[in-house]
Amino acid sequence: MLAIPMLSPWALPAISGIGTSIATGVTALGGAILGTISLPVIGVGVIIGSLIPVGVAGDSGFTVPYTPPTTQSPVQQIQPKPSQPSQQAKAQTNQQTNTVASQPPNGQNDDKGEGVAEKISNGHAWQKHSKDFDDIFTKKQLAEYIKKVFKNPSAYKKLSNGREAFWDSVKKRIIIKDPNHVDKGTIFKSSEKYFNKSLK
Amino acid sequence: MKIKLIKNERILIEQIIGWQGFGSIKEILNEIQRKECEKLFDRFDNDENKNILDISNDELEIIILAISTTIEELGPEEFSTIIGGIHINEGKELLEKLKNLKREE
Repeated sequence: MLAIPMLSPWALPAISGIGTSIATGVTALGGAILGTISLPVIGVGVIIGSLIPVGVAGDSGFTVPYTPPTTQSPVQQIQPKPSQPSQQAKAQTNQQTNTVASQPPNGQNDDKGEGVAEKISNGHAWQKHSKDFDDIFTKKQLAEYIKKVFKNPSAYKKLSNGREAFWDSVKKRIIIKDPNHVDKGTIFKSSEKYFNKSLK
Repeated sequence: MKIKLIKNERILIEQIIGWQGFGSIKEILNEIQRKECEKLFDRFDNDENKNILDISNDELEIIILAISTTIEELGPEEFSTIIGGIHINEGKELLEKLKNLKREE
């Protein structure tokens, strides 16, 4: 049987007051001791922290991030400068303009609206080189043939003084476009060796 | 002999002997002369000094023949279109110069 000491109702607050007083006294004593130690540590930390640069403080565990000093805004940094063609690129372009090619540049020699083929077929070539066109019987046929070779020559090359040469390897004919001539060019039978080697 | 060339004279000579050598299907010159023109073209084309023409008297004669017959054959209509875009009058002046050199020889 559990024996419970019988105390009077006035005795309980008295015991409780003693316990509270003891506890409070211990807490107060502990707080006083800890307070005298911790406050100077925090104080020293704050002073040191204020003397150290922010970036170093961040590396040491402080939460302030380091931002490097800059004279340009981020927008200026990421905007690419407009690119200019280099001298080498320009030289290559110029070289391409003068390069001998097997085909004329696209669309350059299709004779649309120029009437070059008609002018050549109506010029001196029709009379002078008639023996060279044994398969062509009219000036219109000659103009059509010239247009066909302009569009799809066997070989093509640029000549001096703005002239251009077209070679038809099947019929063995050369057509020369000459913007400085009244007939705008000529057509005649020749050899591939002449076209490749001598015609300049 | 060594002939000093000026302006378009080098281009004229090379283009004319090339035309006579293997450009024209008409046999304006005989076969031996055409072959000679072809050989001269190859030689002149490879010359390092383009301002000097080093030729024999026989070669000068062939060149004069080639120029005179080309001027006659092509005429003013075609000469400049086929021969380097150069006016026929420059061809005639070159012909006179070479004829005078031949007389002096």
